[in-house]
Amino acid sequence: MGKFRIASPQDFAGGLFLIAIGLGAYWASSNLGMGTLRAMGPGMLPKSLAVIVAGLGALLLLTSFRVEGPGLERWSIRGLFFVLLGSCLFALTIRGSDISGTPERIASAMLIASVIFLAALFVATRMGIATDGHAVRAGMLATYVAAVFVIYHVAPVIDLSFPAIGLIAAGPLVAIVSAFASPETKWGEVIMFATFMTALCAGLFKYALGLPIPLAPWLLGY
Amino acid sequence: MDLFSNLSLGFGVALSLKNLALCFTGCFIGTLIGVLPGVGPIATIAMLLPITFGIDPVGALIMLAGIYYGAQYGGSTTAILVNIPGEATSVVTTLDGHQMAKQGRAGVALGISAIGSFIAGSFATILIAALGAPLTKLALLFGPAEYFSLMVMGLCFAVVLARGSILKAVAMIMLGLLLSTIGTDLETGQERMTFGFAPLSDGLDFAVLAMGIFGFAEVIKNLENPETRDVVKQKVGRLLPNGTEMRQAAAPIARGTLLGSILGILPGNGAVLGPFASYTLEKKLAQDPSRFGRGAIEGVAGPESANNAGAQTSFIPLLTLGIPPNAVMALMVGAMTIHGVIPGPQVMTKNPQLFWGMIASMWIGNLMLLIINLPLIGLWVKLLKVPYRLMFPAILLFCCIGIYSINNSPVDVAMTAFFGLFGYALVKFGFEPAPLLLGYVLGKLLEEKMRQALIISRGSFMTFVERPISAGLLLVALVILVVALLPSISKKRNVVFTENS
Amino acid sequence: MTTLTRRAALGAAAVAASLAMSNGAQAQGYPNKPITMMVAFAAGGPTDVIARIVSEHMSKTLGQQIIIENVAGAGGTTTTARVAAAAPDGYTLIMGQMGTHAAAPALYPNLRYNPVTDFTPIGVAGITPIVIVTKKDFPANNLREFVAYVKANPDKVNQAHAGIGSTAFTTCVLLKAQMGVQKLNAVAYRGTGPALNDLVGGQVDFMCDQVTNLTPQITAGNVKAMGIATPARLAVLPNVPTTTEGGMPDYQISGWNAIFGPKGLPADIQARLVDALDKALEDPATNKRLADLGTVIPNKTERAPAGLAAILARDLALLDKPLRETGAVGQ
Repeated sequence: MGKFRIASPQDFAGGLFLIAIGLGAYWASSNLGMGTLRAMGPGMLPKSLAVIVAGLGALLLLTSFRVEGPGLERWSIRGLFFVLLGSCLFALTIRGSDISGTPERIASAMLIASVIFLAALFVATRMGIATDGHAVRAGMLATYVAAVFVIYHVAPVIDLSFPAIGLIAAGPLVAIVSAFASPETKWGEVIMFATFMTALCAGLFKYALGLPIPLAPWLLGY
Repeated sequence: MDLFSNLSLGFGVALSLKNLALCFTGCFIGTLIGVLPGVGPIATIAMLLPITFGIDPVGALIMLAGIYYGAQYGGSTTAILVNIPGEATSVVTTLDGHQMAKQGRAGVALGISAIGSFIAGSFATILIAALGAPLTKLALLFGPAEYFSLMVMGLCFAVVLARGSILKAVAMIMLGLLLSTIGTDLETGQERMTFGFAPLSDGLDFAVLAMGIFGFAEVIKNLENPETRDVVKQKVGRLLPNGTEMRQAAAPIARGTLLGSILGILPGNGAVLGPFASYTLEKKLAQDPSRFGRGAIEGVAGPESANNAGAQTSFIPLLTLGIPPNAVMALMVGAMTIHGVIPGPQVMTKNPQLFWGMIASMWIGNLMLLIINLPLIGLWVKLLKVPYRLMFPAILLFCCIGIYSINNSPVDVAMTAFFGLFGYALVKFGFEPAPLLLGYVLGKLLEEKMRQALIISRGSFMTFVERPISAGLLLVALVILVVALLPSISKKRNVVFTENS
Repeated sequence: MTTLTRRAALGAAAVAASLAMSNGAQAQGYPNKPITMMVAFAAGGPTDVIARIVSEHMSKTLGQQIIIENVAGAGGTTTTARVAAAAPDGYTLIMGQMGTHAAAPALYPNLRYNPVTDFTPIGVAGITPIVIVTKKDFPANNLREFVAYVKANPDKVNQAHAGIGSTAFTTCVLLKAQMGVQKLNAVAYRGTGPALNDLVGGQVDFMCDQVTNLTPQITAGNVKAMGIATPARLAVLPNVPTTTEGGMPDYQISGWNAIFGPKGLPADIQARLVDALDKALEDPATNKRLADLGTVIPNKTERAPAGLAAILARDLALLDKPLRETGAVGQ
């Protein structure tokens, strides 16, 4: 009986991650019939794989107590946030969207939660509240997920819709929003570059390759 | 010699000025869409179909075929330069190709991939011309049971792909398999793990998953440590491989070509296995396997050759039998029918000009690709000098447009963002994404073929060992697994030993 | 939910108002921007090919480009539902087919559209006859022997199909129902290509599918044709007897492709589209292209909106019971 110590925090977290996915997948496929080994039903493979994934997670968890390994790495919230925000904005505005469908509702819930979250983070750092450390970060993640969940269920009342701005506007949008992710960004340069790249993409995808991507429905009608 | 007169007929057709121009156009567009992440040959060929209405069938098909194998060339460029595999077949190229780029050997990696692809393409073209018809029988020997065993073998390759912990690699393969079961069940039509979310009913798109866990996650990862990613542009190095490197790559190219050619003939997209098989083989044959995953030239040369050989030989079932082995070939069937050529066993005798013209054009196309790509290497390498603060918004923009255009679906873009988060989490927990992608690619076929085989055999698992080809493949899988696991088991023992002492 | 219904009501009111006020004006300018024709299946498939061939000539008549947009999903029902809910302005159409319109109601209990009331029929673009084929060393040589053999050995025979809801699936369900052998081993494949591959390779015993896919294999002797489900023999397959000749006169079924708009399409827009489709099908080049595929061009009464409605009603009635009895259910 040694004292309780995690030798490899990374593996420990990875194991928990796999167990969570396995349990989630098992739950998601619980409505599917297993069938028999000889006549497999639709649920046979998803359920078995879910159990295997969770089992491997448990194994990883166990080894993390004994085998030395790397510690947990810091998550770069800033990069993660702006890169995902930029691409979600592109998804919501390229053809416009209402929050009638589940995906749009989830995406806009994440969007709203993110904006609130970022504002809170900004205020917190200004007030000198520490935002470092695993506990604080885990708490932040949980709050964020909870916020997305709440907004998702409240969103139909808010009635959000996004205009169809087409590639001409959504292109610079994704480039500029994601540029917030890097501390090295020079704004003049990014804006010029975003405009240039969008023009290039419009020529390439719309005209050269003829893909049916909306350019500027509000200006050109397509 | 029949073959000779047939080939001269073919070259007569393919060397006409118009067909040369169409072949070049096809190869050029193919290279372009291959380089652009997300935009695949399927979307492009579909879009260009109406444009080819005005051209005669031979010319149209020469151009469309050029787009397809051109895209295979171009796909490796993105995989090497920015670590984004545009297609399942270039996942393996990211492993060592991108490492080479980070070491300032991007030019060498791109060069060897172009040269290997050219050699593989030439060999595969000759193979189609000489042995196309008899090889078709090989495709027909593969029933569901054989296919299942082949997929099992493929999964064993994935274990060998792993750089780090075998346990983590196996977990990733299983996770990939699990992800592949999302969507409508083929046999019963029931939806699985879709949460009633319509865009999931056809399962996850490969590009969405790959772009998320490779592309987006890579960008986010690079943003947090400016030191490591800057290595890419510090030194550029030579643009072409030198003699030593060529000698190192020669045998892998030959082996990759052979493996890819055989796997490409198999129905149901056997070509995807080619690069994985080749990588496994090279890693096992290498004197120092630890070089793999750290920029080994064999890890680029072999899989790239296998990839291109497979792309060529997958035309065999289409041309000789009229049955498309994968989605792109299914589109080629559509293209042929639109042009009034009904694909089937009669194409060779009824339209010899089309059949042999297309084969001859493939060799010409491969030569053109070499000519297009070698000078472009200089340009691509220069692109690496663009500062990352500008590069990453551009990568994201290209990814967003590319993913949107796969299925004209904005939801796909949002899902890719989600998988970016997922992939980033995997990286942070020390998991490798490549085995996950292989598990995902093989998963659908694995389940499909297993259940088909069991329905046909009335539920008897003996079908997998009673059929000789299937049993042989399972045996190979077992050998691979034992060979892969043995050193790691003994290594583990050593580690435990040293820790104890 | 309340917002949704309110929005729907507002939308309906707006549509009604715009119809009442500017009905004529709307159609006069029509079409003044590109028209989107949705195809609920992957590019290069039979439905896509027909859509592309027909729309190419229709664009000429209408003076506006018709853009084909392929969005596959859930047997084509996702996209079909999207078109059903689209604005009835003539700028969103769909190339529907037997699966999305005649088979889907029996297969998908939660279907979000009614194939009859939620669409404005434009016209039939092509009809593709169905043929029953077996592997080349199958013990039967004609339809009578085939039926006898299948009835005698229901646990030995394997049928291939291209996935729940595909034409190969639907038409074979009807065949099995009429033969009285529902409990036959059915092997699902992802599309016609893999299924055909295993039939030619002799891994499975038989399948039913559109002539388009099968003609080359029948002619080459890679598979054996048992019967074709049309009243008369087909010019491309003169040696293949009809199901009537083979003793199954009731087995009459064809795949079809037809253009639909959302419900409430103004009559003059509908008329313009019907006219454009007519001109396309009468054009010798387009006609030949379709005929080369093995597609039968319907005559003017058959392909008119009323004819399309009749075909739809017939197939809905024909397929409903056998499909429900299979228990195969999409969500």
